[in-house]
Amino acid sequence: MKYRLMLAGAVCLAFGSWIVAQPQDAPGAAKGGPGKGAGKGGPGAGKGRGGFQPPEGPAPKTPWGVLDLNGVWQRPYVPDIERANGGPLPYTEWGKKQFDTYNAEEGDYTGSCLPFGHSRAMGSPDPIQIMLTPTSMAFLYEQNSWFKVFPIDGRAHNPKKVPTWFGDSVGHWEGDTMVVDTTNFNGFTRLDTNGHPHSNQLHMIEKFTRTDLGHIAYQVTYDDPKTYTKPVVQNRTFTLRPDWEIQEYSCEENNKGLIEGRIKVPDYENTGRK
Amino acid sequence: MNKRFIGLTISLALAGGTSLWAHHSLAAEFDQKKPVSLTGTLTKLDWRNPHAWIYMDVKNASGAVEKWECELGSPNAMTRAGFTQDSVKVGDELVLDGILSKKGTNICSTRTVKGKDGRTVLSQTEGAK
Repeated sequence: MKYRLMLAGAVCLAFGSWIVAQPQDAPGAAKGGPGKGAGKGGPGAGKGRGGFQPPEGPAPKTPWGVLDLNGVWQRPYVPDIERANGGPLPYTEWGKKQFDTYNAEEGDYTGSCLPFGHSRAMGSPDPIQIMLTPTSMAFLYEQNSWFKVFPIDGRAHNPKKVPTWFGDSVGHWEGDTMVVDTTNFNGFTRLDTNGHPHSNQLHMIEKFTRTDLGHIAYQVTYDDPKTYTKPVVQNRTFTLRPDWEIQEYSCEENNKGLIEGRIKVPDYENTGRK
Repeated sequence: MNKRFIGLTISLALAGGTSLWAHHSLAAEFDQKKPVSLTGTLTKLDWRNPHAWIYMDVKNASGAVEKWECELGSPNAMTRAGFTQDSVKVGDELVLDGILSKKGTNICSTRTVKGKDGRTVLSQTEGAK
C-alpha cells in the first residue's frame, strides 16, 4: 500500500498540472480487433474506430525540443498476438507447453482483477494517456486505472528492484523515437487476452514515434528466449483522441462473475517461473 | 398473454459475429458456442465497471416468467460507443442477443440489445446509431 501511495503521489506531483479536461462521450466504438486496419502501420493505422477523423498536421514538439507524445491515445485491441503476427509464434518447447496447457476457464488472472501486465494492458481497447516530461514518462492506462511512471534520462535498470506485474521500465530517445525498455517481470501475466505466454525472462522493447499530429507509430518487441526462439516484433498505430479523457475503471466494483463464484481464481504463482 | 413477456428462445447454433470484449477472457465464464436470444422486459440496468449488467423478465415457452441477468461491456467503452445508462429504462420491451454462461442459470454475456423498433439501444459489438 505504501508503495502504491508513493507512486500515486509521484504521478500527482509530476503530472498534476498536465491533466487537461476534455469532453467525453465521443462517438467511436471501443471495439476493434487484430487485423483491422492492418497493413501499412499495422493494426490501428488510418482512421480511428467509428469513423473518427484525427487532427491533421505535422508532428508537434515539446517546449524542450523533442517530439511530443502527450495525449490520450486510442489503440487497436490486440487480444491475439499470434493473429496479429500473421503466422505461428516461434515457441520454444517450454513456451508451447505453456500455451497448449492454458485454460482460461481454470483461471484467467484478469478475471480476478489481478494486474494485466504491461503487454496485455497495451493491447487493451481502452485508451491510454501518455505524459512526458524532460526526465520522466508515464502511461495512464484506463484499463483498471493502472499507471506506470519511469525515468527517461538514460539511466540503466536497477537490478535490485522486486519483480513486478508491469516490469521495470527505463526510456531514452533515439533520434525522434522514444525507446522504452522493460524487464524484471514477475512472470505471472500473459501477453494477450488469448493467453499467449511469457516467462519472467521477458524483455519488452517499445518504440514510440510521433509520425504526425494525429498518430504514433508503435513497435513492440517481445524478447523472451525461454518462451520464444526468436524475438516477436509487432507494429501498431495509435490515434490521438483529443475528444476523450481517461475515465475511472474499477475492476473490483461490479465483477459479478468473480463475486458470485463463476470465475475461478487462478493458481497464477505456479505459472511463468517454472 | 402479456405482450411484455413475448418469449424466450435459445439457439445452440455456433455463435457468429464480432467478438466481445471483456476485462478477462470470455472463455473463463461464457460459452461462445451457445448463443441465446431473449425477448422480455427490462427490470434493472446496473451501470458500473468492469461490466454493466442488464436484468430482464422473460417469459418462457410454458408461459412462466424467468429472471435473466446478462453482462454488458464496461460503461466506459459503451459510453464512448454512444450508449448511456439512459439509453433504456425500466419497463422497456427489449430483444437481447448474447451467449450463455458456462456455470450460472439464466445468465449470459450480451452482444446487442434492441428496442421494439429494431434500433440497437445497448451493445458490446457496435456503436450507437
